[in-house]
Amino acid sequence: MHKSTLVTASVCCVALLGGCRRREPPEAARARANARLLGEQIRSLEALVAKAEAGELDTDQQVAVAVSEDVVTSLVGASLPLEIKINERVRLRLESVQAFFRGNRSGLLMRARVSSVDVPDAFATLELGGALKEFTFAEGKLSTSASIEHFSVIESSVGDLAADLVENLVKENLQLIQQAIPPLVVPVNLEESVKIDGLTEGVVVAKPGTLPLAIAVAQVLPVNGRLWILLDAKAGPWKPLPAETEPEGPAGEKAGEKPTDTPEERSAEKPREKP
Amino acid sequence: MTRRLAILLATLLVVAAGAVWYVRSLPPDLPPPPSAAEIETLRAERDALQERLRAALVAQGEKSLKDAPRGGIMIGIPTSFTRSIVQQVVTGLFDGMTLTLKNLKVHKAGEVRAKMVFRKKKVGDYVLDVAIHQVQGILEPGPPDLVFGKNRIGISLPVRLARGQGEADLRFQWDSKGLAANTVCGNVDTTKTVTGGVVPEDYRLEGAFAITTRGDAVTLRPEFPDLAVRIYVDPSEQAWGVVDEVVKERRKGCEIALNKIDIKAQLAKILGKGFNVKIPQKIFKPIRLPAGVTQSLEVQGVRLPITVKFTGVLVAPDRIWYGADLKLGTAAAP
Repeated sequence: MHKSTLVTASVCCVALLGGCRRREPPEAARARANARLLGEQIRSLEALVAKAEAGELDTDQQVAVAVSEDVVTSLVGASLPLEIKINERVRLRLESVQAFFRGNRSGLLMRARVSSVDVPDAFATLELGGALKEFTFAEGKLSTSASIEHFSVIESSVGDLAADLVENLVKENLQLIQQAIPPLVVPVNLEESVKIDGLTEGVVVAKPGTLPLAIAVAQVLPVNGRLWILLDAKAGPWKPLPAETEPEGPAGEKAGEKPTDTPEERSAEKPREKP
Repeated sequence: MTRRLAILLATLLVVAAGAVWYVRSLPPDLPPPPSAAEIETLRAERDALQERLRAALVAQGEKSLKDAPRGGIMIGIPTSFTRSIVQQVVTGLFDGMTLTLKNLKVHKAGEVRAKMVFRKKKVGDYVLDVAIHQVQGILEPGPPDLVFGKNRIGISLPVRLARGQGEADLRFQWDSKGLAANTVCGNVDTTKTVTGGVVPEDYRLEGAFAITTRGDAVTLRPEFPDLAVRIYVDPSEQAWGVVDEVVKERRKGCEIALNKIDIKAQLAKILGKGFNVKIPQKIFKPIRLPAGVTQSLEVQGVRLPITVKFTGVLVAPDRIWYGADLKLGTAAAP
């Protein structure tokens, strides 16, 4: 019995040795992630350029809204720091964010500190890479949510084993973390109609009306440091609304009382024949 | 047995610790990370592709992209969309616009002279009064021509006074002068209700919308003169029939005298001058283009003010561009 336990323990130790391999230094991991991201951007851009050069990227009839990396960084950053409790034992505190819109890839690079509720001094610093993909337009607002695409521990106060634990914990609770990040609302107002008041003045009555506008997100191009959101927009048809009031006083009557020989001076006047 | 096991366990622990130390001292099982130079090469390749994309978009129609005012937020509204909005708003406002004149009075009086044996002699005085209770003209716009210029959109709008109708009381008074006339004709004072239409007329309204910015959006401000419209009343067949009746109801001799007045011609003459109506320029309202920058934002239930600093507007043949820098403020103290 004891022998078999020992044999099992030995086999497990040998198997686990592979997992005990030293974690890569943060600089090397970052360089690798950078190269991977740039490679993805290049492949994505090559496809986009080919489409544009073939004349298949129609943008000229679309409303263009561009938001800079700085604006999105400050908008998302406004909700930071943001604390998320995982399993009541671990605290993940999102501390900073940086938006990147390059190479047809929209990215949010977030940094978080993970600590234990029981041992507050033990912590790990986590880097999370998010993307802004699904943009929606509703009630005049353009919004999107960040989806976390990758993450890694870049610093741990309690060694590599704890770093692995943190990564597993984040992996298991990714949905919870994603949902806790507030949605990004692009600070642009898009009206869904143009309303024009009518006019009732003297003899003139123009009915008010509204011009409905159909706006929908067509495509999103994160390039050159800006997030370009292109919207299909169609106006009309014009819908007249009922006039609010009846015509004011009878301008014609006034004119009739004081006829003039220079009719152009009056808004409405009568001609007069001398006997 | 127990001692042997303990020794074995201790040996195993030492071996395991040595193995862990050895494995952890090995570099990660990955190819070497890319060097800074390799990353820089990739970055340059990406930037070159971004530039190619920009050039392809410009070649495809985004001519003004390079001149668009830069800012934290940039909004580009296609000219075709702006054109569609302006055309529909302007024609929508004029479509079915009514011009309603009420209680208009026109008057014509004169005398009739007839040859009586040796010389012409006055046979009577007449008075023709038309009291128009109401006449309403309806406007119909045509398709406007829009010309996009520097910071303004010129508009030429054809407007047709297309149709209309009205109702009036026609009063004809005849006062015979002299024994002969009084004997033959007597005096007449008759009032009839007549109807009429409006003579169609075409007008052209020329003006412009100035493209202005008011902090958070682009607004088109109207610059139009008043439009002077003249409504010409067109008596209906029924109205002419009524005039004929007035004359034919008289005796033959009287009819000859009244025909000298030619009531129809008099009526046509006094109505033919028309009635002036001024359509005020304020019929045009400012049109706010449908994309602007918000001036506050809700973050986790707190509304934060946004300071919008406008950086420029460009009216190009393909787009109207608007640029602004934003600064997120802090929530006001409760």
